[in-house]
Amino acid sequence: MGLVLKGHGVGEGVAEGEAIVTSQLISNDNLSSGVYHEKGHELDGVEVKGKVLVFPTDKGGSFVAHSLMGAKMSDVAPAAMVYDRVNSRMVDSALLARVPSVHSIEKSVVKAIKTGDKVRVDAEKGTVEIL
Amino acid sequence: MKLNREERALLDGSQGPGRVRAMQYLVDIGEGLGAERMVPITRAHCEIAEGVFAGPVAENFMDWPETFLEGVDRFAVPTTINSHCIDMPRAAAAGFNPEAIAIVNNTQPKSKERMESRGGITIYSCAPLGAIPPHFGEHIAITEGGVSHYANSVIGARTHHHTVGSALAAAVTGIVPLWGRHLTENRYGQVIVKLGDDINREDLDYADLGALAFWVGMKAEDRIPVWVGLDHMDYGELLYWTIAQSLMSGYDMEHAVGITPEAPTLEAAFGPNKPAETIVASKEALEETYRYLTSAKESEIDLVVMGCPHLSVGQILEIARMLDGKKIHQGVKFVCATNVCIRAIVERMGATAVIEKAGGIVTQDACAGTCSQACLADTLGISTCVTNSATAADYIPGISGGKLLVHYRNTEGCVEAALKGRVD
Repeated sequence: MGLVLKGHGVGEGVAEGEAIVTSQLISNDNLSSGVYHEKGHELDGVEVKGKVLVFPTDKGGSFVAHSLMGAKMSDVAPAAMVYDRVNSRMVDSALLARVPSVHSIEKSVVKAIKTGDKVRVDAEKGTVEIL
Repeated sequence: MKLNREERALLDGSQGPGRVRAMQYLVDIGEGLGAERMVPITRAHCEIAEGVFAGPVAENFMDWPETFLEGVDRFAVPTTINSHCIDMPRAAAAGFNPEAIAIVNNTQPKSKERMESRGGITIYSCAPLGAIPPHFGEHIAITEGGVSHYANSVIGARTHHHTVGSALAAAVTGIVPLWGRHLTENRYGQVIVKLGDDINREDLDYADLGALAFWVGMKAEDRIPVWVGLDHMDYGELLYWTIAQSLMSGYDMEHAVGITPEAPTLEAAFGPNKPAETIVASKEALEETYRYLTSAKESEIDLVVMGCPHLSVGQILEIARMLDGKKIHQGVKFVCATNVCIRAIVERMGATAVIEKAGGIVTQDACAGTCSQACLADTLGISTCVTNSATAADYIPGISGGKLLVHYRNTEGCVEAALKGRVD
């Protein structure tokens, strides 16, 4: 069993995938195509479909829930999301799109997890296991 | 979560099956946030993709609200609705062809019916709070970035920056999780924003204020900024200032010392917090943001987008003064979007007639072009627009799939482009 980080889960479900980690805020508005798009962002052009997206917190407008739902409908959503600071937009988006999420782990996830790590996110238990 | 008797009644089905779904959803949200209990709200503001967008992006989201509202006969609290796609009586003047109107008719009427049949207040606006204002300290549920920022910051009401699901659930039940900006301790400032010495407040147009607000949003990330040195802002400026901060930031309220109600002084705005940083909004930041928000290369324009968010009386009168006796270039659509209340006022004052005589249009109930014309760019055969709105400039390229690109200009520059048919 790998290192298990304990945080606060959102919704249900367990997902595994390769981590994509950024120290910059993520706009879920920019996730609908499965490839992250934002001019000047370190993840601009990076495929996030099926990955575990790890970031400090989100930013942007209120269509985030639609964007994530749209990504899920088209089967291009991230497998899971792990982030430090929660807000209402992120919880609503994750619940509507049924993307398992864990937030508020004791230490910052963008330092605890590295891009390329294989991780398992358990939303019900609120855990992230680095496999 | 700890639920009281009324809240448990919403879950046990005695208030109807539709309310059980919404209440369970709010409990899931509250647990996801880590909230301990709920708080009653007095009003809600909802936006749904099928209402404001057109084509597949709207049609894909038709089923979700239908299912979510099944078995709900009325909203539990007064609920306003965000802008729709097209002001149908003025569709042609705003540049919509019959093909585009047919596409929107697949979604917009259904969306209207769904909300109105449950008692929705038919303001259809992305700036509804000037017309139907909440009061200071009121707990409410507001979606749409600009509206939630305006409610928290300018009025001092208390809301999450809701998205589609949580806002609709709040409208159905009349409660939200007590969390975040609903609690006084989470409303204090965290970083200071100062205007650079090379910025003169009196020279800032709506587009300048929006550009600086957009830039500050990126720099402040999810920390509440406290602006000093703005001195005064009118209603239209406050709308542009708040919405532009919602675009690239993670915070959902901001203070301006001497202007917003929770910032009579710098000390009051920060409360127990110490400023973590001072962000200086300089001329360089302003110019950098103008470049960032300009995506178009072609100088000839098809459309002018004014009113994202919906224009104030003062903004429309200013545009009318600039257009008085002039003629907008043939083929350019000049759209001034606002809500039904403000349109009625400026019509009485003669401003709509002046703008129409020049070849423009003042629409009500509808998006200025950011979601609407942008979604339909192919059908309308348009590729370049000009706007003084950071929101429009930020969203249009993405929403149109790169088909409609933007020149970012101040109000005078937008009017000048409309008259010439091109930007210089």
